[in-house]
Amino acid sequence: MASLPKRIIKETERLISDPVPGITAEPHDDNLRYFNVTVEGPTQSPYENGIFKLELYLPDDYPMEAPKVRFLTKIYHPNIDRLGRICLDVLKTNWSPALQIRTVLLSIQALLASPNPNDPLANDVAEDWIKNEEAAKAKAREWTQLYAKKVDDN
Amino acid sequence: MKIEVQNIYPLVAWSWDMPKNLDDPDSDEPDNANDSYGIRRRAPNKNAVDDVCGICRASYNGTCPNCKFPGTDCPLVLGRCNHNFHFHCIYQWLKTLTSKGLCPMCRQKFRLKPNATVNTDHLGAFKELAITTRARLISEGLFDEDEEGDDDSEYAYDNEEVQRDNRDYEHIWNNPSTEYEELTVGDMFNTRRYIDDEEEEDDEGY
Repeated sequence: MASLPKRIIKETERLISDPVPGITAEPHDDNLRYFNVTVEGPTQSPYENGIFKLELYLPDDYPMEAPKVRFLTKIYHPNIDRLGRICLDVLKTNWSPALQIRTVLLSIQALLASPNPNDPLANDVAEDWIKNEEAAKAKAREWTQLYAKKVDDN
Repeated sequence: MKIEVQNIYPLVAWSWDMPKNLDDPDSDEPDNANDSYGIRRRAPNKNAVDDVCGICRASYNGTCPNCKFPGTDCPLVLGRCNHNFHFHCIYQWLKTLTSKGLCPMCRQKFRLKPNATVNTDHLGAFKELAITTRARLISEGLFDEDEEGDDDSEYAYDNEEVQRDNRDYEHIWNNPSTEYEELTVGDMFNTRRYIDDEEEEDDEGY
């Protein structure tokens, strides 16, 4: 494997020494481009009190190419499909090499706080969201309880 | 008292020649206050010393991740938007189609800052990049994408403008020596003309 670019080393160090509140990101021991991520559900959102696991991978072309991020924890959200894929502009067309792991994860946390059913990835969820927002939010809360419960067993 | 000099160790420091007042390119005037030895002294440029390339996050005076030796081997370019990068970093970014020709920091079209000495060696490279990017966009059928929805109407174009622009490119192609004050890969994503009529003077100012 080619040596790890300095920028990635710096970013990793800073993620550990100066972590973003509510977000953790730790690289795998055997692949320093692969991160285990957790994001706390934002307060006042249906995801409050949930801890969501994600995986983040820095492709070879990073930072010219966006990191690949995916939810591992099941989540009921109009912009996240059942495979955990995320519809977020900065991960695709609006990526910029001035962004970094921490800003991307902050954007994802912000996406939890403000779902956008008008640009859906999970069409069924988005439909529910538009038809009956309260019910959809209740379901999102339910899923958070079911799948993203805070547990300290790992 | 008598002093005998036994050894002299000269020490030399350098930093990129960046405009001091980033908001005003005209203030790029070097302070030619030579000291009594005739050595031109310039206060170390804070930006050149402290700041890092927004892409690789290494110091401007250091190198991009792929280079070993700082300096002319890994040059710096100054953007008109006052965002500066290692040449290799910004070039690699603008080469991607996702860049849309935009500055990574402010998402304005990336243009070289006019009249900046450090930029002069790179006008040609950016010009060529602009041409090849346009060709790629056309071949991938992406050229028609309305990239400028939120921009001013100057970017709107019709067929006539496209043709006129193509003539511009031919002109560039056939006259490689043509002087361009600024070039932008951003222009590839629309048909804005290359040459702003302002500032056509040469770079020999200093």
